[in-house]
Amino acid sequence: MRMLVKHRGRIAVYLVLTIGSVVMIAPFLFNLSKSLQTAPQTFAFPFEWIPDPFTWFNYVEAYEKIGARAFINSALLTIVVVGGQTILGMMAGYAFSTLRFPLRDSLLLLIIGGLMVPFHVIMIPLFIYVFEIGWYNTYWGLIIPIVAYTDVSVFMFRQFFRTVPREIYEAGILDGAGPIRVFRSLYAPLAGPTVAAFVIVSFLAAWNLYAWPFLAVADSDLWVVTLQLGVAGGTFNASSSPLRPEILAAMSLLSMVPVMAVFMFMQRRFVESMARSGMTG
Amino acid sequence: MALTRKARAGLAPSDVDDMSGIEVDAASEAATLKHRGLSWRGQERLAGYLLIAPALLMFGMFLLGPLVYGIYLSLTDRNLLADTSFIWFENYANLHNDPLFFKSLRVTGLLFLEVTPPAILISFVFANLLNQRLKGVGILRLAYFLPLVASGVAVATMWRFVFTSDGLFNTFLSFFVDVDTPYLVLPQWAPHVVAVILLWSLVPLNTVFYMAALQTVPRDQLDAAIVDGANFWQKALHVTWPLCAPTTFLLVILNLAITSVGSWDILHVLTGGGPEFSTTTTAFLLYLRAFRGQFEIGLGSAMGVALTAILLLLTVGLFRAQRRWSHYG
Repeated sequence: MRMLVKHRGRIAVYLVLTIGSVVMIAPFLFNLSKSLQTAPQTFAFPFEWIPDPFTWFNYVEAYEKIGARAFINSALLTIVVVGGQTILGMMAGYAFSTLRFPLRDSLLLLIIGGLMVPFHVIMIPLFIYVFEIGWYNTYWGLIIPIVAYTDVSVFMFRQFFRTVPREIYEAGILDGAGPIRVFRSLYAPLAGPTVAAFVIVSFLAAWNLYAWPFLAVADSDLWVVTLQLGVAGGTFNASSSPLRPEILAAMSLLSMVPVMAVFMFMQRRFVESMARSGMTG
Repeated sequence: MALTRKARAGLAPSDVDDMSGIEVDAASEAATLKHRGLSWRGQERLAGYLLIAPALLMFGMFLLGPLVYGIYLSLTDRNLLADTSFIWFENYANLHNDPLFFKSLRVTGLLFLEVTPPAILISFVFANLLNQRLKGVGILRLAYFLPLVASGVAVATMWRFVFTSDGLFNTFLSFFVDVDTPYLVLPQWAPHVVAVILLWSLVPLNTVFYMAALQTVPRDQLDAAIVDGANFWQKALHVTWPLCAPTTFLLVILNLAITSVGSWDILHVLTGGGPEFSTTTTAFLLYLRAFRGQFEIGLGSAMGVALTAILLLLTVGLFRAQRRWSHYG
């Protein structure tokens, strides 16, 4: 009896945690199940969880629907955005934390203030602006403006470099290195864990971008994965016939494969990185 | 101080202070630097500006520039059909003539109020539960945090078929009652569907921040509570919750940003702002005005400026309120 009382609390904890996890994973399982069904079964009510007959073929069609080109475009966008934001953020973060120059703190405040401006609001003038400089419907217009949103990276790297004692900087200078050389040879190599944390977060953000790719390009050769999925399943495109649910389910799961892989293999790190990037806000 | 007069000349006073423990070598080193052209201090300045230049340039071109441009556009009647002319504050004066502007503010506000309290409460409880060292919690955590990876588009696509008349939700209800409501096409239901989906995607995100905050709760305070005989709930309520107050506050602001603006992607794919504009938030309305129908870019920009101003005021107001609480609390 006493054992039971002692365990009761623990059982309750497991129960609540299980319910929470099931609710969180349910839409994924629902779509996984749908994506492995044949068309007639997807219309069954009540919904049947076990695919019968079981088919992989929806994934072939889903992959063709998204297209290899969209995966390449997404990868390109993600690599340039993540790489660009990391480099810009490291350089500026080092300068803002370690070097002393007039107006330093005001300029930092200006960049961090960018966090206050919602992207979906600035999107309109940004679009007109990108249109007027002739970047509409180009890779430049699709990618470069996103690289500019460095508020999170600048702040994350500044917070990290602030923890490096200034003696290291001074020692480097005394050895005859300039401030930029000190950054390259002493500071940058120390930033590994911060780089990893930032890369994880910005990789997720860049891969999942939707609103800007939707506005910035028209040509389907320039579409990214989210855009292909949005156009296939969206309500906004009345002229396109709605896709079959099992194909859409397969497409949405397929679109998440790269981020899901990162998440599965480094879940703990993933969660920690998100928490760290959020501390800037 | 063993610094020579010559070396001292090349250094600002603060540098001399920093170097108080360093020998003559250092001073002559600094002097050599000066001979090469710039002083140590000057080099530092130059490098500082060089290193922030790329980030600052990009910021100016693609954030500050468009922001200023947007404010300018909001003072014009720019659209695709006619020539643009400067009309001062007419767009702002006309906001109340737009039949949807105030409605969209209400939709936005209700969405925030419907989602934020449960999101914060559920996240706090789950952060406390997940934080315990239990066997098998790893796999539960994996499932629990999975929504973090889904893009707004994928979220909308995955949930679309949950709320159709023969969807998963009605399958679930069919164990109790028979319903075939197509929730997403009914204006009285659609905003709540959006709220549920946002809640689902915000809970794991909020939990991440609470779990990070829990790491900083001092061990001895929890131990003291255990010695006093506090159980799990008492600990959470009386020790952890007050200590997490700064996180809760930041999460309210984060949730405000996501429900009001960040929900755009989901709305765009799931409802398109409908049915009958019941899910048209202000952030979505300004897109509809600027890029659909008459392409009223001036009006859309004015809505954008107004929305940004409202969100900024709310954030500042929340900061003030928080300061007051922490004073008297």
